[in-house]
Amino acid sequence: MLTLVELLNPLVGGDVVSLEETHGGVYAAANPLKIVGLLTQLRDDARFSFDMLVDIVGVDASGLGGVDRFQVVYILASTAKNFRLSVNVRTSAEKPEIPSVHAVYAVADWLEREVYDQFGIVFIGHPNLKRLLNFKDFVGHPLRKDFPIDGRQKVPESEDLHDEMKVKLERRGRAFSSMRIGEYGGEHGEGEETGDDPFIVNLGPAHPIVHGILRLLLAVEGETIVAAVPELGYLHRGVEKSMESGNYHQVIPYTDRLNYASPMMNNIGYCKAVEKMLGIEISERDALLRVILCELGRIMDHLLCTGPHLVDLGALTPFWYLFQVREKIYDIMEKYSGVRLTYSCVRIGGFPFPLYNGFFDDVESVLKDLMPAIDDVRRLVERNRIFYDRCCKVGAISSAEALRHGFTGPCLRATGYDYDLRKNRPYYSYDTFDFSVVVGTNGDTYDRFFVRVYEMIESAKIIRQAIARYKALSSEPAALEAKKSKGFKKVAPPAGALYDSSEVANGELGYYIVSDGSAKPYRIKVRSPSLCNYSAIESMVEGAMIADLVSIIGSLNVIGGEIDR
Amino acid sequence: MGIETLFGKSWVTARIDDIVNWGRSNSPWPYIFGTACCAIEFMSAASSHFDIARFGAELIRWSPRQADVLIVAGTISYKQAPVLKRIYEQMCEPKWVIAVGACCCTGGMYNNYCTVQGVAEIIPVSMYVPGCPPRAEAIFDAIVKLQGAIAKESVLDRA
Repeated sequence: MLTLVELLNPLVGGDVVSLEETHGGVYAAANPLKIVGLLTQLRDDARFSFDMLVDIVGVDASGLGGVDRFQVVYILASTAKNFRLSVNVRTSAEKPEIPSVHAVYAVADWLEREVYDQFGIVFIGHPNLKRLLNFKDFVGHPLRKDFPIDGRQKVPESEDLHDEMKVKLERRGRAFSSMRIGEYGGEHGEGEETGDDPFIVNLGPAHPIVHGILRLLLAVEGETIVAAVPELGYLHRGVEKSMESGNYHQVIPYTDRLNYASPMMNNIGYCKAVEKMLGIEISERDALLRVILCELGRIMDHLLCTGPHLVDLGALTPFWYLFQVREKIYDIMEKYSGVRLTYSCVRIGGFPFPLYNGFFDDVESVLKDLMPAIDDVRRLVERNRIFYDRCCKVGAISSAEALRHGFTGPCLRATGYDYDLRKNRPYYSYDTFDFSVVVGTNGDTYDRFFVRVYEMIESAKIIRQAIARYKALSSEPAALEAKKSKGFKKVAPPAGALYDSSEVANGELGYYIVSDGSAKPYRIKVRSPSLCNYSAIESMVEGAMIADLVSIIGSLNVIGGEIDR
Repeated sequence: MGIETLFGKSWVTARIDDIVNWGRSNSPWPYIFGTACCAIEFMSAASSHFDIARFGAELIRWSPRQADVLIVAGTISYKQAPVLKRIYEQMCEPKWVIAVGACCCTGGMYNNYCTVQGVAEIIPVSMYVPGCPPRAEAIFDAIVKLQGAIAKESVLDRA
């Protein structure tokens, strides 16, 4: 079978300008004006079948040299052929324009808006090129290198989003009447009320089901949602800008706070990416410990998704059962790292401190408690009529549509699509562990819920195997090995760029790191699984009831720190 | 039976402040303006292991109109600021604010273009809880201290 580079070689000289293979990944440079044609070809050609756009990364390359100031990197994945490809295009500072690829990959809609917001690169042909994270009157583009990190700008009031809603309703042949605006939708406007127009209701960001960070403007008819306009950025805290101001180790605490439901998985994903860039191999012992922590993190995260999801549906009891287990994991991690939630317990090259005595016994006791808790919750909800009615066939999405929106993790697997980075692109010898990838059938809320529940059981299996292997190793403490490795000294990866990802609880968490050879990261882009999983929300909720929206958002497990960064 | 059996049909006299503050300080109903990691830690505080009900604050209100204490847990961005201000204005007097976590108190580690450097820029704060995120016990400490502060208030202060 031909490798990706061999397959792509005939394209070099045409749409592809150059091609190189570094850090085990394939990186291509392309002509910006031909990007739509190129991505369409890569998607439709059966030899490549790049069915997923993983991320679009903007880079202000003014400090890296080169003619053009801006780079835009399209990270593509072929789930069928198991290929990865980064396509890099450049555009000048005077006229930063690139054709939009939103028609090729649906998820590009939001990803391009983010790049426009952060860098001011215009995507020609984008249907709704508005800022995604910062507010609409923000002046400047924060991730440009000449934007000061403390360039704070006050926001007088929230945006009414009526412009987007008007377009959406008109596309459906419905009129937008400013008379039919609910109490929080904005001011009452002029005009005749016809009675047939949809009623406009604002939901969030201060509403319990949207977890304080999401906002949706809904047009409703009775209780049925006609159109929805989501707004992001309420928890945008400039993580990527702040990451550029410290050294590589100082980035680790920021990764904690991306997906704060399972911080250690973000730490590990980041350290893995930097280690790959440095060419460090961590010891087998550290790799096993990372597997254990990752799977503990997955259990933690799924507990925090499934519990509050049920609370949103009105079932409080399961939350108490599940949170008790989570509390025990907190205790373990506190004993190990000293902190209950934001651990920063991984370093580039290994771990900062050894395990405490009795760590494995504590983990085993958590796993012992986990099964009864899951069984209790399953007994409460699995055949519960209310749960069934509110989740089955609600927010269903097909595999093809999910891939177009860049779904990964449990949300993709719930559609019946078997794709898990732990199996498909294994790291830390995940492929040698005996566990199954849990898949659903309908891609609805019910499936998303139970994929998470059964994944916890699989994670417990992995942890038990990893502990057995760890104990079989010789008895040198982990921390000593870590301190010996060069990762603990000054970290300055060679100049270049790298994308590396790992399977976290919500899906694929990736880091695109650009290094200029110095000890400070030049640019770090976090590929957020939540953002892509949430990008299909409009099509999922339209035609559903408001109560279904509650159920859908709960099952997508949208974590604010990760989606808005 | 409780203390009421001892009194029978008798009168009790007390200062208005004492009676009112006794009620106010022992049932501070919170509204959780939870945005980020601190809200996860607040979940721990509210769930059965730590149990916020021991301090009379278990009745979490999701409407600002029914709440006494606004617990701001998490990072407040400038985009979020008008929302928070509006929520605060919707609360009825008497009202208090607990700022939970480093971000909320000072901006914390997010000293950058989009993060409010402490919610005191927007709304008055009664209690600050440091930590990133603070432990559940730290949140309880703030509630207990707030109860102490409420007990010393005069009803005329908030007339």
